[in-house]
Amino acid sequence: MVNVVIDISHPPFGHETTFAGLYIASASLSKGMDVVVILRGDGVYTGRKGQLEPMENINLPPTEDQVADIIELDGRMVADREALSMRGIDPEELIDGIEVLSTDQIHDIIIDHGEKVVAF
Amino acid sequence: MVDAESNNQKILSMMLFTGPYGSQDADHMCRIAEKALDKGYGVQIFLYGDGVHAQLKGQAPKIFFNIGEAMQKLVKKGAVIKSCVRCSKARGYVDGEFDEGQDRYPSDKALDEVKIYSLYGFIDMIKSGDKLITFGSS
Amino acid sequence: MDVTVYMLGDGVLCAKKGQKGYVGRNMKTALEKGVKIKASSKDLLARAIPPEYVEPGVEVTDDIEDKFVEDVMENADRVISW
Repeated sequence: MVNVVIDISHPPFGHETTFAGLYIASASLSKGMDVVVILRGDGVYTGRKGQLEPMENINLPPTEDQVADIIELDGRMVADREALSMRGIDPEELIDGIEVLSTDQIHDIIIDHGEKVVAF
Repeated sequence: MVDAESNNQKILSMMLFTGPYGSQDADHMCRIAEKALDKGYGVQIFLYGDGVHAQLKGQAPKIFFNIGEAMQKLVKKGAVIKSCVRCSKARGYVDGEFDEGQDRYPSDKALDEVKIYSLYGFIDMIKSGDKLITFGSS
Repeated sequence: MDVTVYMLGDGVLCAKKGQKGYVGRNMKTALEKGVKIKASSKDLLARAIPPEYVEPGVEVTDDIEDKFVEDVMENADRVISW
């Protein structure tokens, strides 16, 4: 079993980065890898629910759907509590299934689980 | 895929997410890749996002390190370089459907040494490489 | 746990001594805790940061790609790159 950490530090839409990273997460899951997606820094914006028709509004695909797919495929999604708090994001604003963890806990995930770390 | 089984060779997988020349990332990647090859490791590279632009034929920087030529040299030395078909298609590189014989998507604009491939080409590199390093993505 | 940080390209700017912000502070703390920090000599010189301007404790490293590949492939259990 290959353990993969996808490290997301960009918000969705402004750059392709987050979309590309989430895509790697779901593709890895579909190939039987054990995936944890970390949302930290500006990446925590990626965890917010309630995107309103991004395809219709700004011609960009919904990362919210990608996050939901990852969770459905048994990928683990975690968000950094400190990064959320700095940005005024309440955990209730997050997509269901995202765990809120401390920075230390997130570091532990990288150490314990990060056989391969793909940073986006 | 780099064939490691036959010779027990360790493999370094790499991902490039940013285009050449705009930043030093492609430059760093090529130098580190060449060093790894010279030290006897296998190297497999995936071009993703704007990184696919590193595959463009005919790069001719006046003073910068020529990334196109560097990548051709890497393949000559045994590296495998693939690039993402979705990203390549979006950026105008892909000429048709997957060519089973050539094991790549056809492209007049991309270096022959680079294989335009599905994303699962990268997933396999993530799985099969001993170590993975990324450039230009974070 | 042994930790080594490799600074290449613009990353070497972090190695400049006398920083007053959090990067400088974090770097000092890391060095005190035994983290090894290696910065590319070529990249430092190109950016007008000669050895006397480098934070004490940071190792100015020649042929850093060689050391980096060796460390990654032979010694590291975990690798993260930015």
